[in-house]
Amino acid sequence: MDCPSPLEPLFSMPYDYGERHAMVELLGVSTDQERAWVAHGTGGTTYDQPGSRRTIIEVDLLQGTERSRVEVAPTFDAAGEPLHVPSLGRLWPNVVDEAGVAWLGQIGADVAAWQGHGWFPVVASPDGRYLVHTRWPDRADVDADWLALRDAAGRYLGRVEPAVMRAVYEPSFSPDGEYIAYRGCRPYRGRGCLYDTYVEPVADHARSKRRLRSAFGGKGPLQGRPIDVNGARGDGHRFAPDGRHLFVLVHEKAQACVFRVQVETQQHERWACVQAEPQDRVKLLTAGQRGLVAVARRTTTGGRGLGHRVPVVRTRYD
Amino acid sequence: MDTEFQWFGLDTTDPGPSLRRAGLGLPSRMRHDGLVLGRSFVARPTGEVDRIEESLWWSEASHFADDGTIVALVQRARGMGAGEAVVVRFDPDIRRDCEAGNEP
Repeated sequence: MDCPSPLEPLFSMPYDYGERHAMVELLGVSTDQERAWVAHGTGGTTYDQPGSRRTIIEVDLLQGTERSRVEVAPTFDAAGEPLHVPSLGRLWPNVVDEAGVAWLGQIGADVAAWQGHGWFPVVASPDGRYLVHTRWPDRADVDADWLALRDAAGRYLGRVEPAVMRAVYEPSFSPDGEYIAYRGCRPYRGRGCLYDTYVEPVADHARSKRRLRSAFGGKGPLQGRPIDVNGARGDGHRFAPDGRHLFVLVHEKAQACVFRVQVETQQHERWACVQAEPQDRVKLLTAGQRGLVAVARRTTTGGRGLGHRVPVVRTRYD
Repeated sequence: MDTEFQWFGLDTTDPGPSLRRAGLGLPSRMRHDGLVLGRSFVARPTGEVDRIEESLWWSEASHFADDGTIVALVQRARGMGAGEAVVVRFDPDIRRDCEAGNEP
């Protein structure tokens, strides 16, 4: 019996940049699976170089045709510093103008799974109403970036985190869109960081700009308080499908443990642990309906030298 | 609670050049059942690893649909900075079912 190829081509696009650092990426797929966005361009991973260009193509997956395209290129000030730099689905918010954020935001709201493995992705809420992204400092004398909340059209709603952070990472919405979880770095001993996992209610920021602007040291039940599990700091998080619990990964001495934290009360329980040496980098991947999945990167020394192995941890809820 | 700890066959000390090229580091995407889409392979929760066509590499970005298929971008390189980018739908369950003797 001849087995068919599992690959079904939907859209094809030749490219020829004649340079080493050409890059082609799939930005995302619409929730109805009928459209996709492909970005390509030159300049490789250096988005902020003169001459680098980006093109974002909207693809009709049913017809296998191009629906529209936008050409974007970075611009620079007189000193050669980048002003506006388009990237492959990963915004560098300090150099993308408001229109750029809004435009990508409209795509982001329509994309089922914005690819968030890069730096500073725009993350859309599951219902498409909100976007959140990291934004770099507005002023040169402020050494801190922050999380900006926007509506689906890209209009700025406010700042998410109430406490002063040096850096913020990995924002994610709860499945019901009511909370944003993120990792934050609080200043510690000069330029050091204390990393923690935080949760903020979206509505507080979306409904009231005034409250948000005065939110430093806010009064909400969670604002500015890290998720604390047994005195350890979180090292990655995923919302449970119910939106009311957050799984927080904590690296302990010889194991990595996942705690389940009740978002509103911060009550937590140890959920699952796996043996993991300090050199193992464990990362939560998904918290789906069937269970929790994590992966780890382990460096091994074999007869032929160093290698990597990828163990996968799966925990079912039942 | 049922915790499993599985090792996929991604040991890059393997002498085969194809596995070395398979891509190191954390997998880019994982389906809800644990199926991993790597740079040029699919690793199943059972530990089986299927390589995809040698000339194709998955783009790191890919999307799992509700039906378990994957929409991804693959590239066929044709020299320096040139090639063909193809958006594909990939059903990782077709080949397994077919090779098991079931009608595709």
